[in-house]
Amino acid sequence: MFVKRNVSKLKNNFRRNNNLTLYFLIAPAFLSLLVWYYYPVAKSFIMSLYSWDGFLSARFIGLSNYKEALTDPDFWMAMRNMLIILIFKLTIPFIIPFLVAELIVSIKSKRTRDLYRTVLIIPMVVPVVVWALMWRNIYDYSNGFLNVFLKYIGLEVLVRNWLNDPATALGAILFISFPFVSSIALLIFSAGIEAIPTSIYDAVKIDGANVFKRLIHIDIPFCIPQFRFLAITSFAGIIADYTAVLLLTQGRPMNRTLVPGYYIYRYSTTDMRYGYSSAVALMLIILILIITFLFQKYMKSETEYYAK
Amino acid sequence: MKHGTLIIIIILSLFPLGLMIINSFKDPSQYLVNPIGLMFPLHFENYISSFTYIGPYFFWTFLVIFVGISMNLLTSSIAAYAFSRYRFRGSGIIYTMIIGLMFIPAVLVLFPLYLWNVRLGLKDVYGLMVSYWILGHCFSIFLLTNFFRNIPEELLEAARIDGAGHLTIWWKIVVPLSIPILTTLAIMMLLWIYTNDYVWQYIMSSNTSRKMIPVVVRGLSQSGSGGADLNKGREMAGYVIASVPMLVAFLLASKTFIRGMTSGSIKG
Repeated sequence: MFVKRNVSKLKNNFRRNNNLTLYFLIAPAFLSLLVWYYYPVAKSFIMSLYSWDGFLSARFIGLSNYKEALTDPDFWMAMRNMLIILIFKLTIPFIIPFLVAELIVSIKSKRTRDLYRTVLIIPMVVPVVVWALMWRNIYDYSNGFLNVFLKYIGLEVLVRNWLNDPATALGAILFISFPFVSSIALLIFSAGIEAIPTSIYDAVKIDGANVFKRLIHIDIPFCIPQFRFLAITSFAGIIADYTAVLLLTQGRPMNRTLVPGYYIYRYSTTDMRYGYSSAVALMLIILILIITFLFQKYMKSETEYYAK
Repeated sequence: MKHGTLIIIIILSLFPLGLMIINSFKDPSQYLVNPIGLMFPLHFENYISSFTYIGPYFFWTFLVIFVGISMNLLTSSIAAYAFSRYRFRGSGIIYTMIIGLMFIPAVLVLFPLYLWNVRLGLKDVYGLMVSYWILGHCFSIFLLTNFFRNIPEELLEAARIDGAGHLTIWWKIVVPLSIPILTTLAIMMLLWIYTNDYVWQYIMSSNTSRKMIPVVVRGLSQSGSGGADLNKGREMAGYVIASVPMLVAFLLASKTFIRGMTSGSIKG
């Protein structure tokens, strides 16, 4: 994908020059990453072979941390939840923005289109912590919007403690992005749909195809690069993210909202088991790299990623 | 029909914000009676009380954002200039080592980074500004390198013939031609730091006196924990105060924001 492509570009088109100044130009960026990022992370991966509290006492225990994680039911609960979240977030927040983008693009006036787009991406600039805490208020058992509203319309049977009920907690976490019109997906899809040549639409119109046929045979195939781009750029973040869990449920109830990122967080904070949490982090990173590799191998295309 | 559907979607997307604004004017008893609709009288003092609590932290937040972003743009654009024009021993692998970090979510390794920051003496907001400066490199360099490649070689060649050094070329030619992409990048970093990042700020600064707004806002919902004087109106006024700067910036420069959100997207 893009890493590889750029490197090969460097090889082909650029002037060779081993002038020392060039190293000074890249030094601040590279050395700061090396010292501030690569060193502690590499060290933590070595410490994943130790029983370590983050400070002094470190005892070499080989692969025990890994063994322990792989036999811990909590860890598998976290992986299960992660899988559910991944499946959900790689479908609904792609499909809905795609359909909304179709609606917006079908509007004739450019001004109206821009207005809709601008209004729909407002949630994107609201701090995520504000958003999550607002939803915590909405889910509140005694006085939250959701339960008050359900009582008001006579659906008292549905009233429950959304974030504390094992049956609904994970769903409630996923639902904080309702109605799932992800801003970035919306912008990318609407740009993609607008780029479909109008001549193709005209041809389809003459053939008398209806909107649904056009969607399936033209718009969706044309937007495959966009779907792929969004999947590649978002899956790692989805696997790792635990902001909403940290703010809303801390993994409760009964670990039903536990995710791998929060599992690491829990072992690093309350238990101070840094060796163990590093082992789990390394396993997740390897998982992410494997998925990235598979994406690149099996979803290759002529798509090029570039900066506008 | 089209417009109707879109308007319903807009209402559904924005209702938590509406709820936030409506409830920010209520005192505790009003909120207890009706947590949904607008109620009179409006309690503007919620905003005053909230702002006296949050206000001072805007300074630290601004400092982190300003220092983090400007340092990042400086070092990233210098490095990207070298990567975009020259190939030297190790340049390929160094470039891959920098931008490869985009694939590894930093939230998984926050604790090693936290311990290391403590060891280096980088506490609370100081640690945060350094983190954003350094961690931002991967994406900034990726974006800038690609952008700089499109600057016509003749311009740089002419300067080289005049005897200009790398830093002169970078500052006098490359930077002035890249103001739009640098602005875009600054906005992307702003969105990252202020609206999307919370966990790292929480780990770095929740127990210290210098905090960033997202962490302070979280504290607002806990003040009076135990529920004795839980004032939802005041809490939501705080949410509004924390959201307003970005909303205003967005409405003033929505085109640039949109460009920032979709940068790095697709051609063909």
